[in-house]
Amino acid sequence: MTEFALSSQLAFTIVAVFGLAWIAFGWWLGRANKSHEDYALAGRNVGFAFAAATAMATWVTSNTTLVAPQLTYQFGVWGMIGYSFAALGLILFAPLAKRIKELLPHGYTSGDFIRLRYGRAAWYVFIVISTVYAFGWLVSLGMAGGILLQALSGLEYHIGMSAILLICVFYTLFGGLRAVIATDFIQALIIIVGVVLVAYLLMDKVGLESIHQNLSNDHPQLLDLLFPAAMMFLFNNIFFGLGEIFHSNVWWSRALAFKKRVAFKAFFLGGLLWLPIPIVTGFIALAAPQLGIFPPSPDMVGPTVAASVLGEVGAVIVFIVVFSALASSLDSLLAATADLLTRDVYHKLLKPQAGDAQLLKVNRYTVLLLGVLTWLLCLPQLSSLGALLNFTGAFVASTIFPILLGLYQRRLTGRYACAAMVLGTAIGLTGYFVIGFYVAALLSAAVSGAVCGVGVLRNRQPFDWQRLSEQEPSA
Amino acid sequence: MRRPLPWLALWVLLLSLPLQALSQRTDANNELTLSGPGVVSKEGYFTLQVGVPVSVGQAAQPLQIAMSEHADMSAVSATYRPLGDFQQLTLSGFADGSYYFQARLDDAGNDAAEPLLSDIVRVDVKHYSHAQAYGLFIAGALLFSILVILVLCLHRTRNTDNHG
Repeated sequence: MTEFALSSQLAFTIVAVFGLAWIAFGWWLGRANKSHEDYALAGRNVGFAFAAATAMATWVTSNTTLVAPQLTYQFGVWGMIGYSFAALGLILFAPLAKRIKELLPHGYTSGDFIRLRYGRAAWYVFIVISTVYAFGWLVSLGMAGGILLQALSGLEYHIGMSAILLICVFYTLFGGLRAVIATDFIQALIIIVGVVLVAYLLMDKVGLESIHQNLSNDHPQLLDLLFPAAMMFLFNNIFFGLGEIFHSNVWWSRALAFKKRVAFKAFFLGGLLWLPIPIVTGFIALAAPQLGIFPPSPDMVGPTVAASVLGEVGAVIVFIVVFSALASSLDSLLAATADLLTRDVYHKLLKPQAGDAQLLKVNRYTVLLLGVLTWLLCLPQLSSLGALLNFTGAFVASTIFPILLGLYQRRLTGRYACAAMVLGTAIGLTGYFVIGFYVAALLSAAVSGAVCGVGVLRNRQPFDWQRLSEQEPSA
Repeated sequence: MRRPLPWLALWVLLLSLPLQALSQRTDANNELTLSGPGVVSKEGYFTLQVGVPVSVGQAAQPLQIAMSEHADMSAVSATYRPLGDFQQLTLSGFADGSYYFQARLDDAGNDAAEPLLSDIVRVDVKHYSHAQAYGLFIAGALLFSILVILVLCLHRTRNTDNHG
């Protein structure tokens, strides 16, 4: 039978060394956290270099390192080009981030904004959407960790998944957003250098001509620019990415944590830096048929091909890059989701009188709880990564127009925003099950946008922006 | 009022997941089996699953899956090997048509010199219509254009009105 690129022992050693280093780094950084604001928003004092790096590194995730090759393997050249368009989410969020910082200089979460801007009904819907999305992404990341180790070393899925989750939970637990952003900076450097190195070595060893020849002969659809499924996937993927970024507290917490005047530039540059990465990681998958690599599940194709072409050293590079990418997203999502639950559910709904020390403690417990729940949901490996992510597309795309119009347009009311999210999600999910995944986010965004449009046209009572300046109850 | 039942049900469900994971082992049988997607592939990709008999020895050659465009496998167009010890593989990039697959295992450790062969599996590929694809593409492009124009206009308007 075929050998794996890495031995299980070597793979596990790399995980252990990096894991211990990151946990120690998280603990060291966490000593500076004196308050809940320090822990959740890194003291609202993140400069440009760290800001741009964290924006880019967080968006380089299982999406880019495992799902971009998966979609390229399934949809051909449109898979990688279409995936790179997800950078538009970061680029279009840049002006929104600036506006968020202006409107909510003391805000904590995206949930804060929805509650103050649209009221409780819309807030409940938003919390449900955010939670479904956060778990979809968390589970896909945990699964990606297990799949990565399995693809490269043959290590049992459950061991790899558990190890990667454990590491990320621990350093997020100790360090909060400060540790997340600092490790993101290092991980961003590793990702950029590693991806460039892999692309160079792949071009040098395999060559474009031979890949093209093989695909033309045996897998012609992968080169077809009018590939029907790929064309249908394109804009759905863009709206999915936009919905992910516009609504998620991962990005809002960063916008709120960055220094004033940094948010716009950081997200814009982060998007530009991210743009070529899916093309490189996706291109790797096109070499699979020529190399005789036919993965058991399409999300394993990227690391498997890279490791096969580049040998053991290459496999180590790929492994470290993908592991860094997974960790940089997993920690961000753990931290941001824990903030959202602590602030929006615990503080605003259950214990309004909770003091700073109590919030800090609850936030840490929430990180731990999220880690355990994610681990339990990852165990059965219920779905492929792509299918899992696309399911959440119907939810998040329904928030695009309510968020955008809520930030700039006074005439959209809570009732219409709530209806837009509920109807958008319902129609998107119907499309997902009845037609296919490639319409879920598109339908959701279209319906939600139409409802918001009607809301803006019908309402005559403009919103007062001063209502966003919420006073904190004294503890 | 506290309502423990839904939480209890959720915890029971979550705690049962490890048991489900443990029960996901491949069923052993005495024949080499091959199964396909069971439905028409509309994207040109699909997964094939192989079942290898428990009696197969370590000396067995790597598993191969032959592909033909003829139902009797008279002319093999390509052969594929699953990765490592995995017993399934995903193939992609197929144009419209019917394809036939058969798994083959040489030196399987049985007394007969003949290789072990699976049943022949047929996979049909019929891509979505171009009309449907163009329709969704154009609808997506229109909606995206509206969104970009909206972001640019709202941002520009707000920049000229710092008081909001």
